[in-house]
Amino acid sequence: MSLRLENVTVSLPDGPDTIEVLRGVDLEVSPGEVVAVTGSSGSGKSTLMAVAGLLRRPDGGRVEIDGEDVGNLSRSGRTRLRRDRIGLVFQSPNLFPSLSAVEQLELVAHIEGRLDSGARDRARRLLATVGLGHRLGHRPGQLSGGERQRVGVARALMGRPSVLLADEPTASLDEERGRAVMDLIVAQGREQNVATVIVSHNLDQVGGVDRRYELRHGLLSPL
Amino acid sequence: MFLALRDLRVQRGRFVLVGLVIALVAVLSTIVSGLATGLVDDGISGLRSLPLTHLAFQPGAKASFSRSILTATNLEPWREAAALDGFEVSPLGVSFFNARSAEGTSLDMALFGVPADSFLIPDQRGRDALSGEPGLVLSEEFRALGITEGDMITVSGVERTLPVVGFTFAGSYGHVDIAFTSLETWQELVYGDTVHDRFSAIAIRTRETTDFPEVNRLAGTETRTKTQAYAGSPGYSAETATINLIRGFLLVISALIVGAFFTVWTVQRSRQIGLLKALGASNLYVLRDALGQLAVVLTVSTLIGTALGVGLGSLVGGGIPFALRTGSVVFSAIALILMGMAGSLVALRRVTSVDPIVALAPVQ
Repeated sequence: MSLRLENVTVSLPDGPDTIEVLRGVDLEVSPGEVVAVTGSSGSGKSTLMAVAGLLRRPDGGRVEIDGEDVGNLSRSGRTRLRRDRIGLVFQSPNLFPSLSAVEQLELVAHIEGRLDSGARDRARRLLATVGLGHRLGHRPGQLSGGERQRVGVARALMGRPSVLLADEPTASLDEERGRAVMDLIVAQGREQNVATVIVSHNLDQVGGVDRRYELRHGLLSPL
Repeated sequence: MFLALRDLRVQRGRFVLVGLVIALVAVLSTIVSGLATGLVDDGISGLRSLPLTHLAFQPGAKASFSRSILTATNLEPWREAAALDGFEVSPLGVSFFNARSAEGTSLDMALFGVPADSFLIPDQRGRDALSGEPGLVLSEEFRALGITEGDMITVSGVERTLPVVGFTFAGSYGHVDIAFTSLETWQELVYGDTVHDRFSAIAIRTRETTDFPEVNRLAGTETRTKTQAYAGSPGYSAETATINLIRGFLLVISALIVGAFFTVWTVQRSRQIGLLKALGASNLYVLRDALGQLAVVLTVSTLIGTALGVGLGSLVGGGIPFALRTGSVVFSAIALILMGMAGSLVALRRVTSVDPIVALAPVQ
């Protein structure tokens, strides 16, 4: 199992009170499997992604990446694991304005300390795969919203992750472009044999997934 | 520095302003460094060029020639010790005079009275000049006032007229150009005809590093190394303290400017830093990136500013005490870079504290 969440709970302060954002969430995703999670605004979707992406420690429960319990890992251990095993696609493309499309991917290899000719070739191949082979040298300001998000997808796959997490990846795109990006994530998740979790408030855009879930009042239920 | 270098290249406009300010501070720092060196030269270059290692003064004189009066009684124990231990000593008289040439040109001079056979006069020409009839060997700087060999110079006050018997590189002391004369002539000018065994200090040349406590006790003197004796030059301590204070302020200003800029810059790019960490970059990676960027901006700006400062310094006229020395300029530039780096520490602490979770927040 690439990703396993077991009885995960997260509470967040809400003024003088605390609210339970995740209440005993269980989720398992195998390599090549694609699952979609929906939920209304404030239902805890992003918190779920933060926990699965090792950006936030849960208050309770267990998180495993490739069978490794991350609960006891130090901050730097979690950072290393995120670098080596997790690919993140963000709600906003979150590209670096100074880097060209291909450099956005090369940066991932540089962070890993493996920016060699093989990594440069892989960056070009991945961008070609997401339909941006002709836009390698363009910076974010020279790309459309859909193209930027596709660069974000390619970047998430650059480090050969076991787990791909996409948090509202089409929120800033129109219907047509949003659907195209969703299809791309699903297709790449399967092709690269990555356990993929897509979070979206609009499941109509997400087709061809293996399972669908709804997050409501902190509880995750299959649809 | 993958991201840092590309940021610098693509967003260079953002760095130009702070680079310009740092460069201006570097220009100022280089000019102040030149002034500091120039003032030091003007204050003690004559003393520095004398081939002595120590000076013995009257106790309490604080290395000031004008406060120190020694006599043959003080010199004798030194001569005996020198003969015994193989070092050299020489009486030295130093006084400031106003004089005038035959054409009426007013001249300020620091008059050094030295015996013609003293080790302080290293070449035979100088010894010949001082061993003959009374006369003056002037610092080269006097040539600029139209003084030539053979001119007659009248020392004001005592109204004694002496011929110019030669020129030498003598430098200046207490911001006044130096003139040499024989010790006897100096004693006549300072004390008149009656007192012939007085002088200001004893010049010593030795390879020893001792401060001669036993000889001092017997001679009733106190010794200073040559460097320590610089403090006795009129205004030297106050001037160097003032200049060093200005240099210190410049370094602090530089640190504050760089610190403020990089703090704002770090706040502005908090999301980028968070994103780097979300992509798996360690704190060390992010810090290396930020520090590298800072070092490039600081170094390039400082080098440009220093080069401009050196260029401007070369335009400074001879009337201003200004001198640029490689060591001093390089030290000044390195200090500026290091202080800038130190000033950025606050910003760097902020870099490490950025939470990668900010990358998940939607861009407003």
